[in-house]
Amino acid sequence: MLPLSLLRTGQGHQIMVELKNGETYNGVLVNCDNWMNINLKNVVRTSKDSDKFWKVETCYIRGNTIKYISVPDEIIDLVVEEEQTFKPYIPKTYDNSSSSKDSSPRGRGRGDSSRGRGDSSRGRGESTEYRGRGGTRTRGRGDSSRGRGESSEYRGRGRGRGTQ
Amino acid sequence: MSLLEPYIKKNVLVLTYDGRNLVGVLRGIDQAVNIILESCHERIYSEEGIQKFPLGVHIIRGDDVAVVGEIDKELDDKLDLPSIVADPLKPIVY
Repeated sequence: MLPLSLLRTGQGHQIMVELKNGETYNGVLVNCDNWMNINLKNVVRTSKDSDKFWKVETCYIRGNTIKYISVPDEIIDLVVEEEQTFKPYIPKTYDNSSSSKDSSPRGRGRGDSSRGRGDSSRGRGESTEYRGRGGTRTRGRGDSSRGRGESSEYRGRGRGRGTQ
Repeated sequence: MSLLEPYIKKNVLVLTYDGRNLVGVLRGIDQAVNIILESCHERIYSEEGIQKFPLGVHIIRGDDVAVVGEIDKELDDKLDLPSIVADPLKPIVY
């Protein structure tokens, strides 16, 4: 059980807060946050030596000035219920995501991408091979690849042929 | 996860920065070492022996926690606290 979830469960209950400077604040917990900052209402503030008392309607206490907080005993039992309702949510979301959403699409994705790579690499391989053959002046393909190679490398010659 | 996790639901003694000596059942902890103590009491050391002061459920802010130790309940029950006379701890000044 997290101390801050216990505190959150204590909202609306009477609590006692002791600050690091020794002052205590008795009041109803209105609100609290993840930094233990709290809002109290109907507060009685007591000095360090318990000799002075102030009545305060509402107050805000910064979390890092708190030494400890005393909460009613019964609240600790309320938190347990809250945690039990929270716990099932965590494994459920993980299971769903791993079984249906995450793993299977990953598999498909890999399959597609590898196929894609295979095609593209084959394509490159052919073009480079045929270029080489083109150099040896084989038929058909060799001519076409020669054409590409020449057009990209020697544009001047390509034009020259056009005139021829 | 946390080194304090093995102590959960066990009887522990907590020494705080202001020199207090709290004993109770450790019910919860978090990253900041904020601590929940259930059925907690303070042991006040004085010339009249150790006095117990019941406190109920306490949330101790991590800033204030100096030491957490497990209590051997059998051994602890054998102690005759009112007959033990010792000076209280001084607060830690920082």
